[in-house]
Amino acid sequence: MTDKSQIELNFFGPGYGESILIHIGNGKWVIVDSCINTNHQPAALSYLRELGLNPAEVVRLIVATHWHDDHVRGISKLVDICKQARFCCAGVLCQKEFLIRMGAVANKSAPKVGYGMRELHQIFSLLNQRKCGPVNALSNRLIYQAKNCKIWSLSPSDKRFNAFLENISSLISQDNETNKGRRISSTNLNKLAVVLLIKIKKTLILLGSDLEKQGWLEILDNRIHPNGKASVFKIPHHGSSNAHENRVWNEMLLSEPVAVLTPWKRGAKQLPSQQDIDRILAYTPYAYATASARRPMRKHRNPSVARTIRESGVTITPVSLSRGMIRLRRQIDSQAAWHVEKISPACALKDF
Amino acid sequence: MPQLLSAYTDRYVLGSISDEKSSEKASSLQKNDEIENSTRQEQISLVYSLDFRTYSLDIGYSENHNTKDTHNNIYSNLIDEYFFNYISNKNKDFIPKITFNALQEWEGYILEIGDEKFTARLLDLTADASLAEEEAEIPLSEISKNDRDQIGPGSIFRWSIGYERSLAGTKKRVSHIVFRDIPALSKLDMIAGARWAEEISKNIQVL
Repeated sequence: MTDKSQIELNFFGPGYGESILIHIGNGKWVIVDSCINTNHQPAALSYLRELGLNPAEVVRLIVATHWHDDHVRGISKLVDICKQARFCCAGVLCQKEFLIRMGAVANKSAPKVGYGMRELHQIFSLLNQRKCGPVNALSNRLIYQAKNCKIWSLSPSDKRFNAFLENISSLISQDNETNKGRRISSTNLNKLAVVLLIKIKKTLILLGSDLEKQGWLEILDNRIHPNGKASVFKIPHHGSSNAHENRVWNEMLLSEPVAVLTPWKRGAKQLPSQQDIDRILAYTPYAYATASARRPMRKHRNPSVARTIRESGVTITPVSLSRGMIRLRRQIDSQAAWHVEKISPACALKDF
Repeated sequence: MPQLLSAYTDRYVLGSISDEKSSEKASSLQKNDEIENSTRQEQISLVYSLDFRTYSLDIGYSENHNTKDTHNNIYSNLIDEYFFNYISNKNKDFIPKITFNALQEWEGYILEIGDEKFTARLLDLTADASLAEEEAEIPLSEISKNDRDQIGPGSIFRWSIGYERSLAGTKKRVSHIVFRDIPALSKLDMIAGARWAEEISKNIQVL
């Protein structure tokens, strides 16, 4: 059971996707992104229920940092259930042309895999019913305030915002002959990722989403958010080198912070790589991953199907979901070291 | 059901006798040719109108593809056999059948395309579990060149593995990857989208 005077951060990264659940004190919780667990439920929702809490009452803010499948799985269910929570996303998603196209896509019958717009469409429809629009995240914007807690969005920058508006047509380009039938969420939206800075009394927490290097430089060069350095860092983009900026570690983080990443795998590629691990461990020994690099078991198949797959030169890997998570706790008034718990298969990054 | 309007040495002309404007709608069909793109689509739609229901999967495949030669031959054989029976008046109810028994089906979308392979996220349709996901690396050689030129991250496809039984009774194991040719947004879709956005903007600040 979470003590009301305790900060608690739960990093879920079951092998595909990530979600962060934060107790900001006084029984109030914030959810950043959403992924599903082994029961195919939003991980944050299941956790709160396991604690005996009613998500409808205790969750005050839900943030979708960007619109990639691995960050928004089940997020419309969160918004539906957590009726007291405000919803926050990059302001560009409220752009009129984008909404018209989203509505148009929703009007079509979708394949089973969907167009990647369903969650967002459902959320906007829910918010409309509640007559309560989203909080638009922009650089250097205070998006939430409560007793002892303030949350700022540090991105996307005006530059990224404008670039998105210029390219909006290509994002849902069902009417574009070369892109027809493609899913919106398969486009690169990392440049629009929302980085969050959370201040709970004197404690600062920096959540890096999937923001890439250029976005970090824009944050660093346009800082008007509060001074101070964070003691917890959600490492951006699964530890990838394309999201690394040395200045972030030097200018925005305390020395040897607690750093957490969620691993990512696509085909033979995997993040973090050994180089990424070595680089991160050079900054802090207190680095953790929410899941291990262990490959999931292959599925048992009909022998004829297995033979055809083999003969075609295709390799198939199940997308495994685990219960792995990293939990950090400390008293709100304390500046002591974070108490870190690794729920298997989460591990220290050196053991990844 | 289409009927034979006239037959030549190199083509059949089809129409519907229940349709007075049948001659206007008549389609010309080349025999045993290697029909490309638009002509092939015409041919396949005719095959479809012959109600070869067991072929519906391959019809979907062929609409989007430079169909492989084997399929061309199958279609040609089907049509030849149909008209042989029709012209000779042996059995007007004859409908030739090629069956496909799917052992495994997935729906998927492309995550990334490399030089020789593409990576895709798959949803196992056979397991009937909407969340039974897998990730596959598939050689580009498994898909037609025409598709290779058109696909990209986010392209949606269906992959089927199963047994196909030919007219001659030969059974063979086949693998089909069919990219979905999703229609462009229509004016009606856009009107519906605009209506929804208008509704949303009553309570949500639209930028």
